[in-house]
Amino acid sequence: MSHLTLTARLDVQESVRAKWFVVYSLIFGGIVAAFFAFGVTESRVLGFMGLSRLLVTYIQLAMAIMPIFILLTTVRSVAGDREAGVFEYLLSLPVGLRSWYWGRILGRFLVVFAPVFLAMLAAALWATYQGIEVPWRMFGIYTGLLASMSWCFLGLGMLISSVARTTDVAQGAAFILWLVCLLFLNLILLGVMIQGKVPADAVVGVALLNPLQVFRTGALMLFDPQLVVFGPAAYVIYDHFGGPLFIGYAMAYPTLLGTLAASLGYFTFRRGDLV
Amino acid sequence: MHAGWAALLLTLAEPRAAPLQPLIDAAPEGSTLTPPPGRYLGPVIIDKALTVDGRDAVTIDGLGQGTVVTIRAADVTLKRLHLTGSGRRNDELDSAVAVEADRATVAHDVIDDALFGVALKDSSDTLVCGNRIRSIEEEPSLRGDGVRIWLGTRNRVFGNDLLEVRDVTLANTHDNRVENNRIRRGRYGMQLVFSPRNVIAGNLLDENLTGIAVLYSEGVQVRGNRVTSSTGFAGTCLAFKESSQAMVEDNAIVHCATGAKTNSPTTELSAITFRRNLFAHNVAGIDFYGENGGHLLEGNRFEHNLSQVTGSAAMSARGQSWRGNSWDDYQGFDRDGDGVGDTPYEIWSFADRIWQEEPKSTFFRNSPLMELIDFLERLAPFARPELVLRDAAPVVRPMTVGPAHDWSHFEPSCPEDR
Repeated sequence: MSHLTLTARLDVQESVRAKWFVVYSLIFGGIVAAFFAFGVTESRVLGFMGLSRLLVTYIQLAMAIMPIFILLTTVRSVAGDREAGVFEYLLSLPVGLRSWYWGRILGRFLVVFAPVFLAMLAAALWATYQGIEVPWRMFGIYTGLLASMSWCFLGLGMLISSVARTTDVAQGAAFILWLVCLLFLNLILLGVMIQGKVPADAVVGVALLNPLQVFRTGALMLFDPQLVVFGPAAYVIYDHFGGPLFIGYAMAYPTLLGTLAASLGYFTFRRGDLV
Repeated sequence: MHAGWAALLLTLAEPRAAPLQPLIDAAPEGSTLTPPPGRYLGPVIIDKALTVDGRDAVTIDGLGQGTVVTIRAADVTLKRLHLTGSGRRNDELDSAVAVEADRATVAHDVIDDALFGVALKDSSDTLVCGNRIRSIEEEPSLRGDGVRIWLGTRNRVFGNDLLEVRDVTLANTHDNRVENNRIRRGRYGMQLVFSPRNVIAGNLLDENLTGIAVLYSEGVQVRGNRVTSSTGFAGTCLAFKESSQAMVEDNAIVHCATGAKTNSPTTELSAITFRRNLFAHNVAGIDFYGENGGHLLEGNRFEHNLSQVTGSAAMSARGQSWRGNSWDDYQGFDRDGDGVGDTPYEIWSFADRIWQEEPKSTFFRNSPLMELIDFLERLAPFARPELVLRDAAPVVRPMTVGPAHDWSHFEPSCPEDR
């Protein structure tokens, strides 16, 4: 077994051994899956299922809960090990820094995403058992969107963890990043849009650099393919993307951003002092 | 290759194709003509009472020129024919069937590759039923109407299956009935212009850019229809403009950008009534764009709409008469168990005003940010919120509303088939 998979396995084992992490995973994973299941099943009228206030609320909760959970559990990774003096032992072990770093990411992704995916799958199976037709395409894309968002914030978390010297700083930075993505950036953009001095295209363009906004738009598009809920701004997205292309973007961009951030974190980690 | 040339080559290659007109001319008045199975050429003009029965084995092809069959005498019946290949001129109303006389019957025909399907011009007491009608392959606005009624009265459009036509149009005509049709993927599913007292009942309209549009028409009845999935940015299930005394009952209005969009009737005394309708999964359940009230809304069910009711101004919805509707977001109790909520149902406009006044900012609607602003506004309002509407007696007991009709096994049919 390579060092990478060994490190990943170690991370998974450590995480699973920590009871708080298991509880967290089950609760967050369960909530996300339950939201999907209830959102889909409770929104049916005359056999029809589409966008509803309930589903919009559930999408909002998923985009609020998942990133902060991932960030708070990930940012402790490098910074926490540094504080605990783990790297001093690492220097005496035949494990490369690359294997250790990417192994941690891989293990963390499995730990973070597996509960969500399994809970989603359980929700789908429960719906099948209840005789409710599961929209598998929607299920697949929504799971893909959750996966890419998870990877993105995992990468960002590892970057913060590599740059920060202490877990306190790392957690503070993670919380600020979450607030910016969830609220502050949109607040600024909303103000700019109302002022009308900047073209709506530019505002929407900047908004769509925010992985959370990308997730939200992609998830809404599943239930509202023409994004009527966005009003005139939907034209901006459709003029530049079109529906299927945007779903592709909504999966590719956060994945790319996460990989980029993780790579940057790796280079910082490799060049920095280990102890 | 141009469709007309292709059809011509096909005709040359098929020696049996012959004009139908000589058979029509030879048939005695009042008789039934049953042409031998095969393909015949149009155009055909029928100027005497006659029944032409194709028995599902006769095709009349217009070869892309003009109208395929024109009816110019009363009491003509065209049934079980395949009519195809009309011309492409909108100004000439090139159609599969043009009806220019009274008491015609166009039944159980298959119409395709025709600009207009069945066009009634100053025809009364005509029955168009059980047909399958499809227009040419073009953008919705460049196609022709599936059924068009201009002038005339007491016509009946029943049990037809219209797919990818432009509209079903009633213009300057009154007291017609459009019933039990299935109309899909058109521009306007149905539009009524200057057409009073028509009845639109039991139809299924799905994936049209607009479902039913009633313009400048009084006393229209819209009953028991299911209008769904008009989901374009301007997609509206049901639209009323400058119309009054309309009765909208027992319809299911589901999954449109706007469920119903309606402005104030011409006078306050001629209200538009919405009763026992289901408004569900629309971005806006009902949107009012007139400020003079004039709507009575009673016993409707509002469910899973992103916004239940919107208006061009706050008083647009407030000025209507709301009684005994059921709201899935009602926050109240029914302690006396009478099925009516103890407190009124009210919609107040807080942060919603941001995107209502600045439509571009709709991009942020329902985002966590806007929800937070809305929450803070409700907690400690910076400005006085606007009351959008008040329903004094909201119903909280389960309600069965919407159409009783079942379209799951739709087959084109005529009234006598039932």
